Amino acid sequence: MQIISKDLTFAYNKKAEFNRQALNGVDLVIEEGDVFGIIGHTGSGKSTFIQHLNGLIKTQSGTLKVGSYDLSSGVKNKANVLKQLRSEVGMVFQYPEYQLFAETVYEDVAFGVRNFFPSYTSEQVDEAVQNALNQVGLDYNEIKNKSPFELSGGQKRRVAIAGVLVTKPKVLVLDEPVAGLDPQGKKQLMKLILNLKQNSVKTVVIVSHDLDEVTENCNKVAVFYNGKVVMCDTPKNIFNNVKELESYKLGLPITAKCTQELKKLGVEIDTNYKASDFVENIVRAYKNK
Amino acid sequence: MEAIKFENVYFKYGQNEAPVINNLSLTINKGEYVCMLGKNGSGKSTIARLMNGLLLPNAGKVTVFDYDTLNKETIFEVRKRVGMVFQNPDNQMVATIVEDDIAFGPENIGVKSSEIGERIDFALDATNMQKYRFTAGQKLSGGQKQRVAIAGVLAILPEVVILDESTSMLDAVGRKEVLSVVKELNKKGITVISVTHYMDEASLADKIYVIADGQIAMQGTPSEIFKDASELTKYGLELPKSTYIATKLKENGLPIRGDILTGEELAEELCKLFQKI
Repeated sequence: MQIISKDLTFAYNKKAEFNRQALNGVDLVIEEGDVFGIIGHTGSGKSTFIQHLNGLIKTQSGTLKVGSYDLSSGVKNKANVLKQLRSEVGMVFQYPEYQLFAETVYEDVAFGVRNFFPSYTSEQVDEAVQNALNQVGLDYNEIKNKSPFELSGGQKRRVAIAGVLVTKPKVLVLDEPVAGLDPQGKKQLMKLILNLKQNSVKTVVIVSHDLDEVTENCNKVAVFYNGKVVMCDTPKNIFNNVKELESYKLGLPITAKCTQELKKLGVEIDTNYKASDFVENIVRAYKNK
Repeated sequence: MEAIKFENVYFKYGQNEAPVINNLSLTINKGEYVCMLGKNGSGKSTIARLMNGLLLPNAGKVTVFDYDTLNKETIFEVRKRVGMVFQNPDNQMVATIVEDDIAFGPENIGVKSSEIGERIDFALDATNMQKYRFTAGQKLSGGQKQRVAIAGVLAILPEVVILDESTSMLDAVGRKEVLSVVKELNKKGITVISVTHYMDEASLADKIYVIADGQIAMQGTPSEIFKDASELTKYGLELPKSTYIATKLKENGLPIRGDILTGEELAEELCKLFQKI
Protein backbone atom coordinates (compact mmCIF):
# COMPACT_ATOMS: atom_id res chain seq x y z
CA MET A 1 0.00 0.00 0.00
CA GLN A 2 1.29 3.39 -0.91
CA ILE A 3 0.53 6.20 1.51
CA ILE A 4 0.01 9.69 0.12
CA SER A 5 -0.69 12.71 2.26
CA LYS A 6 -1.31 16.11 0.74
CA ASP A 7 -1.80 19.32 2.67
CA LEU A 8 -3.07 17.47 5.70
CA THR A 9 -3.99 19.79 8.55
CA PHE A 10 -5.31 19.07 12.00
CA ALA A 11 -6.13 21.09 15.11
CA TYR A 12 -6.96 19.69 18.54
CA ASN A 13 -10.10 21.25 20.06
CA LYS A 14 -10.69 22.89 16.71
CA LYS A 15 -13.82 24.74 17.68
CA ALA A 16 -12.61 25.86 21.09
CA GLU A 17 -10.87 29.12 21.73
CA PHE A 18 -7.72 27.37 22.92
CA ASN A 19 -7.28 25.14 19.91
CA ARG A 20 -3.87 23.87 19.03
CA GLN A 21 -2.75 23.41 15.45
CA ALA A 22 -0.89 20.09 15.37
CA LEU A 23 -0.54 19.57 11.61
CA ASN A 24 0.01 22.48 9.25
CA GLY A 25 -0.18 20.89 5.83
CA VAL A 26 1.68 17.60 5.75
CA ASP A 27 2.88 16.53 2.30
CA LEU A 28 4.38 13.07 2.34
CA VAL A 29 4.60 9.91 0.25
CA ILE A 30 5.49 6.56 1.80
CA GLU A 31 6.07 3.85 -0.78
CA GLU A 32 5.21 0.21 -0.35
CA GLY A 33 8.35 -1.59 0.83
CA ASP A 34 9.80 1.37 2.70
CA VAL A 35 11.22 1.17 6.18
CA PHE A 36 10.27 4.73 6.79
CA GLY A 37 11.60 6.76 9.69
CA ILE A 38 9.74 9.74 11.14
CA ILE A 39 11.79 12.08 13.32
CA GLY A 40 11.18 15.48 14.87
CA HIS A 41 11.32 17.05 18.31
CA THR A 42 8.53 16.60 20.85
CA GLY A 43 5.34 18.31 19.72
CA SER A 44 6.29 18.43 16.03
CA GLY A 45 3.20 16.48 14.95
CA LYS A 46 4.62 12.98 14.45
CA SER A 47 2.09 11.16 16.61
CA THR A 48 -0.86 13.16 15.33
CA PHE A 49 0.15 12.28 11.79
CA ILE A 50 0.52 8.54 12.30
CA GLN A 51 -2.86 8.33 14.01
CA HIS A 52 -4.38 9.49 10.75
CA LEU A 53 -2.99 6.48 8.91
CA ASN A 54 -5.58 4.05 10.21
CA GLY A 55 -8.36 6.52 10.77
CA LEU A 56 -7.96 6.89 14.52
CA ILE A 57 -8.00 10.62 13.88
CA LYS A 58 -10.46 11.89 11.33
CA THR A 59 -8.97 14.10 8.65
CA GLN A 60 -10.03 17.73 9.10
CA SER A 61 -8.68 19.00 5.81
CA GLY A 62 -6.43 17.72 3.07
CA THR A 63 -5.99 14.52 1.12
CA LEU A 64 -4.90 11.21 2.61
CA LYS A 65 -4.78 7.96 0.68
CA VAL A 66 -3.66 4.71 2.25
CA GLY A 67 -3.59 2.11 -0.54
CA SER A 68 -7.10 1.99 -1.91
CA TYR A 69 -8.59 3.69 1.14
CA ASP A 70 -9.44 7.34 0.75
CA LEU A 71 -9.28 9.07 4.12
CA SER A 72 -9.39 12.61 2.70
CA SER A 73 -11.53 15.22 4.36
CA GLY A 74 -15.12 15.13 3.23
CA VAL A 75 -14.99 11.43 2.27
CA LYS A 76 -17.40 9.39 4.35
CA ASN A 77 -16.09 5.92 5.12
CA LYS A 78 -18.48 3.37 6.51
CA ALA A 79 -17.64 1.72 9.82
CA ASN A 80 -16.89 -1.64 8.19
CA VAL A 81 -14.48 -0.01 5.73
CA LEU A 82 -12.60 1.67 8.59
CA LYS A 83 -12.53 -1.62 10.44
CA GLN A 84 -10.96 -3.33 7.46
CA LEU A 85 -8.45 -0.49 7.11
CA ARG A 86 -7.46 -0.93 10.75
CA SER A 87 -6.81 -4.62 10.25
CA GLU A 88 -4.50 -3.76 7.35
CA VAL A 89 -2.69 -0.86 8.99
CA GLY A 90 -1.41 -2.06 12.36
CA MET A 91 -0.54 0.52 14.96
CA VAL A 92 1.89 -0.16 17.80
CA PHE A 93 1.84 2.69 20.30
CA GLN A 94 4.58 3.78 22.66
CA TYR A 95 5.09 1.33 25.50
CA PRO A 96 2.44 -1.00 24.04
CA GLU A 97 2.87 -3.41 26.96
CA TYR A 98 0.78 -1.02 29.06
CA GLN A 99 -2.14 -2.03 26.87
CA LEU A 100 -2.00 -5.72 27.68
CA PHE A 101 -5.17 -6.64 29.51
CA ALA A 102 -6.20 -10.28 29.18
CA GLU A 103 -5.60 -13.13 31.60
CA THR A 104 -3.45 -15.14 29.24
CA VAL A 105 -1.11 -14.31 26.40
CA TYR A 106 -3.37 -16.32 24.08
CA GLU A 107 -6.46 -14.31 24.94
CA ASP A 108 -4.61 -11.04 24.59
CA VAL A 109 -3.26 -11.80 21.14
CA ALA A 110 -6.54 -13.40 19.99
CA PHE A 111 -8.52 -10.28 20.86
CA GLY A 112 -7.53 -8.56 17.61
CA VAL A 113 -8.50 -11.44 15.32
CA ARG A 114 -11.82 -12.05 17.06
CA ASN A 115 -12.57 -8.36 16.92
CA PHE A 116 -11.70 -7.87 13.25
CA PHE A 117 -12.72 -11.29 11.91
CA PRO A 118 -15.72 -12.46 13.95
CA SER A 119 -16.47 -15.19 11.45
CA TYR A 120 -13.18 -17.01 12.13
CA THR A 121 -13.48 -20.55 13.50
CA SER A 122 -11.55 -21.34 16.66
CA GLU A 123 -8.99 -23.24 14.52
CA GLN A 124 -8.43 -20.15 12.41
CA VAL A 125 -8.01 -18.04 15.54
CA ASP A 126 -5.51 -20.59 16.91
CA GLU A 127 -3.54 -20.49 13.73
CA ALA A 128 -3.46 -16.69 13.59
CA VAL A 129 -2.31 -16.43 17.23
CA GLN A 130 0.34 -19.09 16.72
CA ASN A 131 1.58 -17.33 13.62
CA ALA A 132 1.73 -13.92 15.31
CA LEU A 133 3.63 -15.23 18.33
CA ASN A 134 6.08 -17.04 16.04
CA GLN A 135 6.70 -13.84 14.15
CA VAL A 136 7.78 -12.05 17.30
CA GLY A 137 10.04 -14.92 18.27
CA LEU A 138 7.99 -16.36 21.14
CA ASP A 139 7.26 -20.05 21.63
CA TYR A 140 3.50 -20.52 21.30
CA ASN A 141 3.20 -23.63 23.45
CA GLU A 142 5.43 -22.29 26.14
CA ILE A 143 3.81 -18.91 26.48
CA LYS A 144 0.16 -19.11 25.45
CA ASN A 145 -1.25 -19.89 28.89
CA LYS A 146 0.95 -17.53 30.84
CA SER A 147 -0.33 -14.28 32.24
CA PRO A 148 1.13 -11.42 30.20
CA PHE A 149 1.93 -9.70 33.48
CA GLU A 150 4.42 -12.32 34.63
CA LEU A 151 6.61 -11.83 31.56
CA SER A 152 9.74 -9.70 31.31
CA GLY A 153 9.59 -6.22 29.81
CA GLY A 154 10.94 -7.34 26.45
CA GLN A 155 8.55 -10.30 26.24
CA LYS A 156 5.55 -8.16 27.15
CA ARG A 157 6.39 -5.79 24.34
CA ARG A 158 6.62 -8.70 21.91
CA VAL A 159 3.24 -10.02 23.00
CA ALA A 160 1.76 -6.55 22.48
CA ILE A 161 3.22 -6.41 18.97
CA ALA A 162 1.90 -9.92 18.25
CA GLY A 163 -1.53 -8.59 19.19
CA VAL A 164 -1.23 -6.15 16.30
CA LEU A 165 0.38 -8.59 13.83
CA VAL A 166 -2.37 -11.10 14.37
CA THR A 167 -4.61 -9.39 11.80
CA LYS A 168 -1.81 -9.67 9.20
CA PRO A 169 -1.42 -5.94 8.57
CA LYS A 170 0.24 -4.81 5.35
CA VAL A 171 1.50 -1.64 6.94
CA LEU A 172 2.95 -1.59 10.44
CA VAL A 173 3.29 1.74 12.21
CA LEU A 174 5.39 1.77 15.40
CA ASP A 175 5.81 4.69 17.78
CA GLU A 176 9.19 4.40 19.55
CA PRO A 177 9.19 0.60 19.34
CA VAL A 178 12.41 -0.03 21.26
CA ALA A 179 12.30 2.74 23.89
CA GLY A 180 13.03 1.55 27.43
CA LEU A 181 14.58 -1.78 26.43
CA ASP A 182 18.14 -2.80 27.23
CA PRO A 183 20.65 -2.56 24.35
CA GLN A 184 20.50 -6.24 23.38
CA GLY A 185 16.72 -6.22 23.67
CA LYS A 186 16.64 -3.18 21.38
CA LYS A 187 18.82 -4.84 18.81
CA GLN A 188 16.84 -8.06 18.81
CA LEU A 189 13.47 -6.35 18.57
CA MET A 190 14.62 -4.09 15.76
CA LYS A 191 15.93 -7.08 13.83
CA LEU A 192 12.65 -8.81 14.36
CA ILE A 193 10.69 -5.80 13.11
CA LEU A 194 12.79 -5.66 9.95
CA ASN A 195 12.32 -9.40 9.46
CA LEU A 196 8.55 -8.95 9.47
CA LYS A 197 8.91 -7.69 5.93
CA GLN A 198 9.38 -11.27 4.82
CA ASN A 199 5.81 -11.96 5.93
CA SER A 200 2.60 -10.07 5.35
CA VAL A 201 3.99 -6.71 6.43
CA LYS A 202 5.12 -4.77 3.38
CA THR A 203 5.76 -1.34 4.79
CA VAL A 204 7.16 -0.34 8.18
CA VAL A 205 6.81 3.18 9.55
CA ILE A 206 8.91 3.94 12.64
CA VAL A 207 8.66 7.04 14.79
CA SER A 208 11.88 7.48 16.73
CA HIS A 209 13.88 9.91 18.83
CA ASP A 210 17.02 7.92 18.28
CA LEU A 211 18.79 9.23 15.20
CA ASP A 212 21.38 6.45 15.29
CA GLU A 213 18.60 3.91 15.16
CA VAL A 214 16.99 5.64 12.19
CA THR A 215 20.28 5.79 10.25
CA GLU A 216 20.93 2.11 10.83
CA ASN A 217 17.49 0.84 9.88
CA CYS A 218 15.48 3.14 7.62
CA ASN A 219 15.80 3.64 3.88
CA LYS A 220 13.93 6.92 4.02
CA VAL A 221 13.38 9.58 6.66
CA ALA A 222 10.92 12.43 7.08
CA VAL A 223 11.64 15.30 9.45
CA PHE A 224 8.59 16.85 11.12
CA TYR A 225 8.75 20.42 12.35
CA ASN A 226 5.83 22.58 13.49
CA GLY A 227 3.30 20.20 12.00
CA LYS A 228 4.94 19.99 8.58
CA VAL A 229 7.30 17.67 6.77
CA VAL A 230 10.33 19.89 6.24
CA MET A 231 12.74 17.27 4.90
CA CYS A 232 12.15 13.87 3.33
CA ASP A 233 15.02 11.90 1.88
CA THR A 234 17.48 9.06 2.44
CA PRO A 235 19.25 9.15 5.83
CA LYS A 236 22.44 9.99 3.96
CA ASN A 237 21.03 13.12 2.37
CA ILE A 238 19.19 14.17 5.51
CA PHE A 239 22.23 13.98 7.76
CA ASN A 240 24.43 15.66 5.16
CA ASN A 241 22.36 18.75 5.75
CA VAL A 242 23.66 19.79 9.14
CA LYS A 243 22.62 23.45 9.16
CA GLU A 244 19.06 22.70 8.21
CA LEU A 245 18.74 19.92 10.79
CA GLU A 246 19.94 22.23 13.52
CA SER A 247 17.25 24.73 12.68
CA TYR A 248 14.70 21.96 13.30
CA LYS A 249 16.14 21.36 16.77
CA LEU A 250 17.55 17.99 15.86
CA GLY A 251 21.02 16.73 16.61
CA LEU A 252 23.14 14.43 14.51
CA PRO A 253 23.96 10.73 14.73
CA ILE A 254 27.51 10.20 16.06
CA THR A 255 28.80 9.20 12.64
CA ALA A 256 27.45 12.39 11.07
CA LYS A 257 28.92 14.51 13.87
CA CYS A 258 32.37 13.06 13.21
CA THR A 259 32.04 13.44 9.44
CA GLN A 260 31.12 17.05 9.98
CA GLU A 261 34.16 17.74 12.16
CA LEU A 262 36.45 16.09 9.64
CA LYS A 263 34.95 18.16 6.86
CA LYS A 264 36.03 21.31 8.68
CA LEU A 265 39.59 20.02 8.33
CA GLY A 266 39.08 19.43 4.64
CA VAL A 267 38.70 15.66 4.97
CA GLU A 268 35.66 14.52 3.01
CA ILE A 269 34.15 11.18 4.02
CA ASP A 270 31.46 9.80 1.76
CA THR A 271 29.25 7.62 3.94
CA ASN A 272 25.63 6.70 4.46
CA TYR A 273 26.28 7.13 8.22
CA LYS A 274 25.66 3.52 9.17
CA ALA A 275 28.36 2.52 11.65
CA SER A 276 29.79 -0.24 9.44
CA ASP A 277 29.87 1.95 6.34
CA PHE A 278 31.37 4.84 8.30
CA VAL A 279 34.19 2.66 9.67
CA GLU A 280 34.92 1.31 6.18
CA ASN A 281 35.14 4.77 4.65
CA ILE A 282 37.25 6.24 7.45
CA VAL A 283 39.71 3.38 7.08
CA ARG A 284 39.83 3.90 3.32
CA ALA A 285 40.33 7.65 3.60
CA TYR A 286 43.11 7.13 6.15
CA LYS A 287 44.97 4.58 4.09
CA ASN A 288 44.68 6.66 0.92
CA LYS A 289 46.27 9.68 2.51
CA MET B 1 31.84 9.57 53.80
CA GLU B 2 29.46 6.73 53.03
CA ALA B 3 26.16 7.87 51.56
CA ILE B 4 24.48 4.54 50.89
CA LYS B 5 25.56 1.14 52.04
CA PHE B 6 24.10 -2.29 51.19
CA GLU B 7 25.20 -5.20 53.37
CA ASN B 8 24.25 -8.69 52.17
CA VAL B 9 20.85 -7.51 50.96
CA TYR B 10 18.17 -9.91 49.75
CA PHE B 11 14.83 -8.90 48.32
CA LYS B 12 11.88 -10.65 46.70
CA TYR B 13 8.53 -9.22 45.59
CA GLY B 14 6.34 -12.10 46.73
CA GLN B 15 6.63 -14.76 49.37
CA ASN B 16 6.83 -17.56 46.83
CA GLU B 17 8.89 -15.74 44.23
CA ALA B 18 12.55 -16.01 43.47
CA PRO B 19 14.69 -13.28 45.04
CA VAL B 20 15.33 -10.31 42.76
CA ILE B 21 18.28 -9.09 44.83
CA ASN B 22 20.72 -11.75 45.87
CA ASN B 23 23.20 -11.04 48.63
CA LEU B 24 24.13 -7.61 47.35
CA SER B 25 26.75 -5.49 49.08
CA LEU B 26 27.90 -2.13 47.84
CA THR B 27 28.93 1.26 49.12
CA ILE B 28 28.31 4.58 47.43
CA ASN B 29 30.27 7.52 48.78
CA LYS B 30 29.04 11.05 49.15
CA GLY B 31 29.58 13.11 46.02
CA GLU B 32 29.95 10.15 43.66
CA TYR B 33 28.18 9.88 40.30
CA VAL B 34 27.23 6.25 39.97
CA CYS B 35 25.45 4.49 37.15
CA MET B 36 23.59 1.18 37.26
CA LEU B 37 23.42 -0.82 34.04
CA GLY B 38 21.83 -4.17 33.35
CA LYS B 39 19.20 -5.78 31.20
CA ASN B 40 15.46 -5.49 31.77
CA GLY B 41 14.64 -7.46 34.89
CA SER B 42 18.17 -7.54 36.28
CA GLY B 43 17.15 -5.75 39.50
CA LYS B 44 18.49 -2.24 38.84
CA SER B 45 15.26 -0.41 39.62
CA THR B 46 14.65 -2.60 42.67
CA ILE B 47 18.07 -1.55 43.98
CA ALA B 48 17.14 2.09 43.40
CA ARG B 49 13.92 1.64 45.37
CA LEU B 50 15.77 -0.05 48.22
CA MET B 51 17.96 3.02 48.48
CA ASN B 52 15.27 5.30 49.88
CA GLY B 53 13.14 2.81 51.69
CA LEU B 54 10.41 2.56 49.05
CA LEU B 55 11.24 -1.13 49.27
CA LEU B 56 12.71 -2.77 52.34
CA PRO B 57 15.19 -5.66 52.36
CA ASN B 58 13.97 -9.13 53.35
CA ALA B 59 17.39 -9.84 54.77
CA GLY B 60 20.54 -7.80 55.15
CA LYS B 61 20.75 -4.10 55.77
CA VAL B 62 20.53 -0.88 53.80
CA THR B 63 21.87 2.23 55.51
CA VAL B 64 21.56 5.77 54.23
CA PHE B 65 23.93 8.16 56.01
CA ASP B 66 23.92 5.67 58.86
CA TYR B 67 20.11 5.50 59.08
CA ASP B 68 18.83 1.94 58.72
CA THR B 69 15.94 1.95 56.20
CA LEU B 70 14.19 -0.72 58.30
CA ASN B 71 13.86 1.67 61.22
CA LYS B 72 10.38 3.17 60.91
CA GLU B 73 11.19 6.05 63.20
CA THR B 74 13.95 7.39 60.99
CA ILE B 75 12.53 6.58 57.57
CA PHE B 76 11.81 10.26 56.93
CA GLU B 77 15.44 11.07 57.67
CA VAL B 78 16.22 8.68 54.82
CA ARG B 79 13.64 10.07 52.42
CA LYS B 80 14.71 13.65 53.14
CA ARG B 81 18.20 12.76 52.04
CA VAL B 82 17.41 10.64 49.01
CA GLY B 83 15.16 12.00 46.28
CA MET B 84 14.00 9.96 43.33
CA VAL B 85 13.03 10.90 39.77
CA PHE B 86 11.09 8.30 37.80
CA GLN B 87 10.70 7.41 34.15
CA ASN B 88 7.45 8.92 32.99
CA PRO B 89 7.33 12.72 33.04
CA ASP B 90 3.54 12.67 32.99
CA ASN B 91 3.17 10.64 36.17
CA GLN B 92 5.12 12.87 38.49
CA MET B 93 3.21 16.14 38.57
CA VAL B 94 0.99 16.59 41.58
CA ALA B 95 0.00 20.24 41.18
CA THR B 96 -1.31 22.31 38.30
CA ILE B 97 1.50 24.85 38.13
CA VAL B 98 5.23 24.37 38.42
CA GLU B 99 5.70 26.43 41.58
CA ASP B 100 3.08 24.45 43.51
CA ASP B 101 4.48 21.20 42.29
CA ILE B 102 7.92 22.05 43.64
CA ALA B 103 6.43 23.22 46.95
CA PHE B 104 4.74 19.87 47.52
CA GLY B 105 7.86 18.10 48.82
CA PRO B 106 9.01 20.74 51.32
CA GLU B 107 5.44 21.28 52.55
CA ASN B 108 5.18 17.58 53.15
CA ILE B 109 8.24 17.40 55.35
CA GLY B 110 7.08 20.44 57.33
CA VAL B 111 9.33 23.18 56.01
CA LYS B 112 8.14 26.59 57.27
CA SER B 113 6.10 28.43 54.67
CA SER B 114 8.41 31.46 54.96
CA GLU B 115 11.25 29.25 53.80
CA ILE B 116 9.44 27.49 50.98
CA GLY B 117 9.74 30.44 48.61
CA GLU B 118 13.52 30.31 48.89
CA ARG B 119 13.54 26.60 48.29
CA ILE B 120 11.50 27.06 45.12
CA ASP B 121 13.90 29.75 43.91
CA PHE B 122 16.84 27.52 44.57
CA ALA B 123 15.29 24.50 42.83
CA LEU B 124 14.23 26.53 39.78
CA ASP B 125 17.71 28.05 39.51
CA ALA B 126 19.43 24.69 39.75
CA THR B 127 17.30 23.21 36.98
CA ASN B 128 17.28 26.32 34.82
CA MET B 129 13.47 26.54 34.95
CA GLN B 130 12.99 30.05 36.41
CA LYS B 131 11.01 31.12 33.35
CA TYR B 132 8.37 28.48 33.95
CA ARG B 133 7.57 29.17 37.59
CA PHE B 134 3.90 29.92 36.92
CA THR B 135 3.44 27.67 33.90
CA ALA B 136 0.91 24.84 33.92
CA GLY B 137 2.53 21.42 34.00
CA GLN B 138 0.79 20.12 30.92
CA LYS B 139 2.21 22.93 28.79
CA LEU B 140 5.79 21.78 29.35
CA SER B 141 7.82 19.48 27.12
CA GLY B 142 8.98 16.11 28.42
CA GLY B 143 12.46 17.40 29.21
CA GLN B 144 11.01 20.38 31.04
CA LYS B 145 8.67 18.15 33.04
CA GLN B 146 11.57 15.96 34.11
CA ARG B 147 13.47 19.08 35.16
CA VAL B 148 10.48 20.07 37.29
CA ALA B 149 10.51 16.58 38.78
CA ILE B 150 14.19 17.07 39.63
CA ALA B 151 13.42 20.54 41.02
CA GLY B 152 10.72 19.00 43.23
CA VAL B 153 13.31 16.62 44.60
CA LEU B 154 15.89 19.38 45.07
CA ALA B 155 13.45 21.44 47.11
CA ILE B 156 13.78 18.97 49.96
CA LEU B 157 17.56 19.63 49.83
CA PRO B 158 18.56 16.00 49.34
CA GLU B 159 22.07 14.64 49.56
CA VAL B 160 21.39 11.98 46.95
CA VAL B 161 19.36 12.14 43.74
CA ILE B 162 18.35 8.86 42.09
CA LEU B 163 17.29 8.90 38.44
CA ASP B 164 15.43 5.76 37.48
CA GLU B 165 15.47 5.76 33.67
CA SER B 166 14.51 9.41 33.87
CA THR B 167 15.56 10.18 30.31
CA SER B 168 14.13 7.16 28.51
CA MET B 169 10.94 8.90 27.40
CA LEU B 170 12.65 12.10 26.27
CA ASP B 171 13.91 13.22 22.86
CA ALA B 172 17.57 14.07 22.27
CA VAL B 173 17.12 17.70 23.30
CA GLY B 174 15.21 16.79 26.47
CA ARG B 175 17.84 14.24 27.42
CA LYS B 176 20.61 16.77 27.00
CA GLU B 177 18.75 19.29 29.20
CA VAL B 178 18.24 16.80 31.98
CA LEU B 179 21.78 15.41 31.84
CA SER B 180 23.38 18.83 31.98
CA VAL B 181 21.31 19.67 35.06
CA VAL B 182 22.36 16.39 36.66
CA LYS B 183 26.03 17.02 35.92
CA GLU B 184 25.83 20.47 37.51
CA LEU B 185 24.20 19.04 40.64
CA ASN B 186 26.94 16.49 40.97
CA LYS B 187 29.57 19.22 40.68
CA LYS B 188 27.90 20.95 43.61
CA GLY B 189 28.41 17.85 45.72
CA ILE B 190 25.12 15.99 45.34
CA THR B 191 25.51 12.25 45.02
CA VAL B 192 23.90 11.03 41.78
CA ILE B 193 22.73 7.51 41.09
CA SER B 194 21.46 6.94 37.61
CA VAL B 195 19.72 3.81 36.34
CA THR B 196 19.76 3.77 32.56
CA HIS B 197 19.81 1.79 29.33
CA TYR B 198 21.78 4.44 27.49
CA MET B 199 25.43 3.45 27.35
CA ASP B 200 26.51 6.97 26.47
CA GLU B 201 24.80 8.27 29.60
CA ALA B 202 26.68 5.74 31.67
CA SER B 203 29.96 7.07 30.32
CA LEU B 204 29.32 10.33 32.24
CA ALA B 205 29.52 8.55 35.60
CA ASP B 206 32.53 8.14 37.92
CA LYS B 207 31.65 4.54 38.49
CA ILE B 208 29.46 1.95 36.80
CA TYR B 209 27.86 -1.10 38.37
CA VAL B 210 26.63 -3.75 35.96
CA ILE B 211 23.83 -5.67 37.60
CA ALA B 212 22.81 -9.20 36.62
CA ASP B 213 20.43 -11.46 38.55
CA GLY B 214 20.35 -9.06 41.47
CA GLN B 215 24.10 -9.10 41.97
CA ILE B 216 27.02 -6.98 40.88
CA ALA B 217 28.42 -8.57 37.74
CA MET B 218 30.97 -5.89 36.90
CA GLN B 219 32.12 -2.65 38.48
CA GLY B 220 34.60 0.02 37.50
CA THR B 221 35.10 3.34 35.77
CA PRO B 222 33.41 3.76 32.38
CA SER B 223 36.66 3.11 30.51
CA GLU B 224 37.24 -0.06 32.50
CA ILE B 225 33.72 -1.31 31.92
CA PHE B 226 33.65 -0.51 28.21
CA LYS B 227 36.99 -2.17 27.55
CA ASP B 228 35.52 -5.60 26.98
CA ALA B 229 32.57 -5.86 24.61
CA SER B 230 32.19 -9.64 24.91
CA GLU B 231 31.67 -9.53 28.65
CA LEU B 232 29.11 -6.73 28.33
CA THR B 233 27.13 -8.71 25.77
CA LYS B 234 26.69 -11.47 28.35
CA TYR B 235 24.76 -9.02 30.50
CA GLY B 236 22.52 -7.72 27.71
CA LEU B 237 24.61 -4.59 27.20
CA GLU B 238 26.79 -3.24 24.45
CA LEU B 239 29.48 -0.65 23.92
CA PRO B 240 28.47 3.00 23.56
CA LYS B 241 28.31 3.66 19.83
CA SER B 242 31.41 5.88 19.76
CA THR B 243 33.41 3.26 21.68
CA TYR B 244 32.19 0.61 19.25
CA ILE B 245 33.29 2.66 16.24
CA ALA B 246 36.68 3.41 17.80
CA THR B 247 37.20 -0.29 18.51
CA LYS B 248 36.37 -1.18 14.92
CA LEU B 249 38.76 1.46 13.58
CA LYS B 250 41.49 0.12 15.81
CA GLU B 251 40.85 -3.41 14.59
CA ASN B 252 41.38 -2.08 11.09
CA GLY B 253 44.82 -0.85 12.02
CA LEU B 254 44.13 2.82 12.70
CA PRO B 255 46.22 4.26 15.54
CA ILE B 256 43.31 5.45 17.65
CA ARG B 257 42.80 5.56 21.41
CA GLY B 258 40.90 2.56 22.71
CA ASP B 259 39.16 4.28 25.61
CA ILE B 260 36.86 6.64 23.74
CA LEU B 261 33.48 7.06 25.40
CA THR B 262 31.63 9.95 23.76
CA GLY B 263 30.88 11.26 20.29
CA GLU B 264 32.91 14.41 21.04
CA GLU B 265 35.95 12.36 21.99
CA LEU B 266 35.63 10.28 18.84
CA ALA B 267 35.35 13.35 16.61
CA GLU B 268 38.34 14.94 18.33
CA GLU B 269 40.42 11.79 18.02
CA LEU B 270 39.57 11.38 14.33
CA CYS B 271 40.51 14.99 13.65
CA LYS B 272 43.88 14.48 15.36
CA LEU B 273 44.43 11.36 13.33
CA PHE B 274 43.83 13.08 10.01
CA GLN B 275 45.74 16.21 10.98
CA LYS B 276 48.89 14.20 11.57
CA ILE B 277 49.10 13.10 7.99
